[in-house]
Amino acid sequence: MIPLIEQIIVNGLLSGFAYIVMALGFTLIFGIMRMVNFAHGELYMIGAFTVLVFYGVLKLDFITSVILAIAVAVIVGALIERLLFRRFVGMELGGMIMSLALSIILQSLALIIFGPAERSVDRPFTGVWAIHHAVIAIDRAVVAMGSLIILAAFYTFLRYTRTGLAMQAVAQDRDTAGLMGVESNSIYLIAFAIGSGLAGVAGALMAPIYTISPYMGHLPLLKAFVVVILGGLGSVPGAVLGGLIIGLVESAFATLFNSTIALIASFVIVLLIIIVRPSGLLGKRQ
Amino acid sequence: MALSFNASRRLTRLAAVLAGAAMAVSTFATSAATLKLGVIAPLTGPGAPWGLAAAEGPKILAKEINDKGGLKVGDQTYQVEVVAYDDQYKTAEAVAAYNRLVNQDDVHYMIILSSAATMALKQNVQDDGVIALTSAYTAKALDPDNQNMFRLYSAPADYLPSFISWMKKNIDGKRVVIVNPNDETGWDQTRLSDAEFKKNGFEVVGQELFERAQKDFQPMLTKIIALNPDFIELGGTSPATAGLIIRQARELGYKKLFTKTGGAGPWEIVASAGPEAAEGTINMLYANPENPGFQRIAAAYKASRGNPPNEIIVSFYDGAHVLLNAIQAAGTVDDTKKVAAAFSKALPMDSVQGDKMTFGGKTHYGVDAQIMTVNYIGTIRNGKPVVLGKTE
Amino acid sequence: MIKHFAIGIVTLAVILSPWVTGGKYELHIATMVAIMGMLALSMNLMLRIGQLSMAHGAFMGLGAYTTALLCMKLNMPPVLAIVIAGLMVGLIAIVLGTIFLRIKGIYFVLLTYAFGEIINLIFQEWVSLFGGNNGLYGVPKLSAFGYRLTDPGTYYLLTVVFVAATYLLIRKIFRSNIGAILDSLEQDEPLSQSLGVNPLSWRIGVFAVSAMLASVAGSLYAFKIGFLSPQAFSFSLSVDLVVMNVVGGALSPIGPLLGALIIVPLPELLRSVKDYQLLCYGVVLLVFLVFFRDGLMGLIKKTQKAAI
Repeated sequence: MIPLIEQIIVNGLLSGFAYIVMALGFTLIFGIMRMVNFAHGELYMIGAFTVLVFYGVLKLDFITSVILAIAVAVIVGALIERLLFRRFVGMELGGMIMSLALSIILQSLALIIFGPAERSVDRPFTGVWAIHHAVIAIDRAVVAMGSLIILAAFYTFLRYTRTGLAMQAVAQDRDTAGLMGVESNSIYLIAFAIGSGLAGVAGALMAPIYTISPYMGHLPLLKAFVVVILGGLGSVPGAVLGGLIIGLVESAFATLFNSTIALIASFVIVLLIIIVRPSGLLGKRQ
Repeated sequence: MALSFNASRRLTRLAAVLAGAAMAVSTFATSAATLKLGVIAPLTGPGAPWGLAAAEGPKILAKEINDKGGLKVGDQTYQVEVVAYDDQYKTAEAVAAYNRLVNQDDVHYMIILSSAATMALKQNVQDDGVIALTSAYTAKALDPDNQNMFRLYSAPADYLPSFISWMKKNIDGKRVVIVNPNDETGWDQTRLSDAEFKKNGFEVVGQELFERAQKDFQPMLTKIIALNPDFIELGGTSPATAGLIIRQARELGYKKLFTKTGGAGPWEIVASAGPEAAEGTINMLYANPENPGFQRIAAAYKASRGNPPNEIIVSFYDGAHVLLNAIQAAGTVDDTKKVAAAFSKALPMDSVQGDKMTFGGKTHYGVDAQIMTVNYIGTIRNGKPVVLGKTE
Repeated sequence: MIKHFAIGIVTLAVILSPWVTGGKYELHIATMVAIMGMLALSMNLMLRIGQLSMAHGAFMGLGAYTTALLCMKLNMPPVLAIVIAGLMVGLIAIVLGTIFLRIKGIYFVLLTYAFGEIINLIFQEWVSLFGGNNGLYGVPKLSAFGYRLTDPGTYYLLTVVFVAATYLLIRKIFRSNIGAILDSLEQDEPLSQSLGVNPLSWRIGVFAVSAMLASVAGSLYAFKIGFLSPQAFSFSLSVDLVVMNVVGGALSPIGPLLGALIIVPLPELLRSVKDYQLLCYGVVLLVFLVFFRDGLMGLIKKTQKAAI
């Protein structure tokens, strides 16, 4: 029994770290722009396909490909924000529906360019570590470590740079921030670009772990959504806490029952949170 | 003011009507002496690799026949034309595609891929006198009340017994865990393989079902590995997913065997598991990669689509071939009752790979409505599928 | 008046043409347009009080499965099954609404989205009742007063009657006093409260009515196709309904009908370019969102105004 529990915990933590990066991007965009971005999963998918092209096909090394994936996701995100989402700032429903349209368009473009079949790339890291009774796959550990690095970098950016502070200001009170000379439009652009970049890097890191297909963004979006609601829309510590909790809960339910039950459990948690405490565990009261 | 309001309203409605009329007119532009074969399959979306095989297999056959002058039925020679419609794996779309084929395109013969579409259209096919060949494994597709639905290859109920008795002679170990997707094909596969394993002296220590879209199998595998099986049977799992399961299991420390007695795709397994992890996996193949007949079809597919086909393409090629043979044996393209009865005359017949196909199915389904085919038992060596034996 | 008469004749001709020509293919498409039109109208009802509900796909599914199961397992007469299913779904909506409708804006959308996903997962997971991923087939044909409705033409007319009734009902509601109350819910809640209206009760009422409409649409779907699977009632159905309302225009009840008329046959018209079908769909939605936010109805009304 103990080995089972240990492995459940290890699996849960590893999944949790993967969710955190995805959730960070989602919560950033919502926190700053009040926009639910249904296309977030497609930015994840774009990150993974970039890795497929550069690492899988052109045989560049993995780290370079991941960096390129971040760049692509950031650029796509910036373009989307400037050309399309800018019009919907303040209009939550309109922005949400716009993100639905984008998700459809991006998915279909990937379908047309790459076809529907699932692709794989070689693993850059293979093997496992054994800790006590549990086993940790090295490539998943790398994803977890990558997530921690990104988390630390992001936190530093938010707390200690001028742009980061400006972002927090806009999130709290756009008009007053404007009076202080913070240009909210450029903050929105940066926030959306960074959020998209986070989705892209999540996809890039996860690309060798599973398979790559145009539909791969749907499930990570669902997970990000659940994590962010739990942790609080707009809260960075919330995304971390939510990610770990959901990772562990899912791992337990999936091992003891099956993964559909685990997914139902996640959505029931979402329902309960929105009803009982809509701002989430660590979110700000509205 | 009155005019422009009228105009815009009328215009919208008129446009819809005109579009419908245009559709109807365009379908009249077909040549005489054509025999049409319909295909309803997922041509886009996740099922597309199989769907495209279902569309292209018959098309390759049609081209070969047409290049030799056409199909001679009675006194007439016909050009064979394949009309394939995408059902996107959705029932409502399959019904729409069916309606279009039968009512717009005047099609009496078709191939239906998915079991959902097959079950939804089973009654229509009977009522409309349309002959359908299905690749669905569901046992419910065939029954004595329906004279028009046929299965184009052997289902697990037919080939599993000889597959598993081969395994009894060639595999070490007796403890098995059966893993399948959580849908009817998966449940059927679990039930059938469970019974056959037990008959052959194996010990089924566990059964697991997973969701189609699932990617993370560590929880499930953690549970399975704790049961200490000698091999894990992956049944009807899709090949890319099977590859994921194999790799994740290896990472969790599982060193023993995998078997996959359901639908094939060895290359996809190797691609997503990696050649080392996949080494030694026993799986069911529709085609022997060394076989010249298969290679000819695969080359034709690659020439027109750009990538290699899913090997199930041989089954659709063969199925279409049997159907056309039955039409020839019946001597008519219009009397579908005669054609349905002529299947027993068209078979036995050789498949494109040189194996014998016979007519059967009575034992399991109450009626002879299945083309009994030979499947291959293969293993993966150095990232390539190698044939070790045959079933039936 | 001649203008209205002319429009009426053209509309009637368009609606009746599939029934007159009797082509099975056209009838199938037309029936689906009618059923989806009814569903789009049910979502529109919620949009008119300022709430976007992504649960209506799930309500349709609940209506469809309940009706089918009542007929198949309990041998209930189909008409009674439609009514009972509708009442059950309405009841579910009332219970949910009491909790959900206290919450506004984006959180309400997310709640209905989560609910829709849970229901879909239950359809997949509760195999003994719903048949799981492989679905429920063998739903009997609709029969009433001993008459089995197998003719597609007649079935089409039946669905037309239902969708027309739904349209007239919604139009009537919004032109009446009730409509004024509902508009006030959307625009100025404190005002309506000061007039003695309990906004929450009204919202729950609208939610229940719209859920019942979705349920009936689901029943009609079940009898038509004869086969139900969880996939038919997933998130993408709710997305389709949103698209229909955006393209057609949410401001008037004709909008969703127009949207259904365009969106439902679209896959058929685009069959020759199937790879680009999804792309077209997304682009159409995008174009309408950016340039024609009030949909086709908004465009028509603008043309009308501009021409004065």
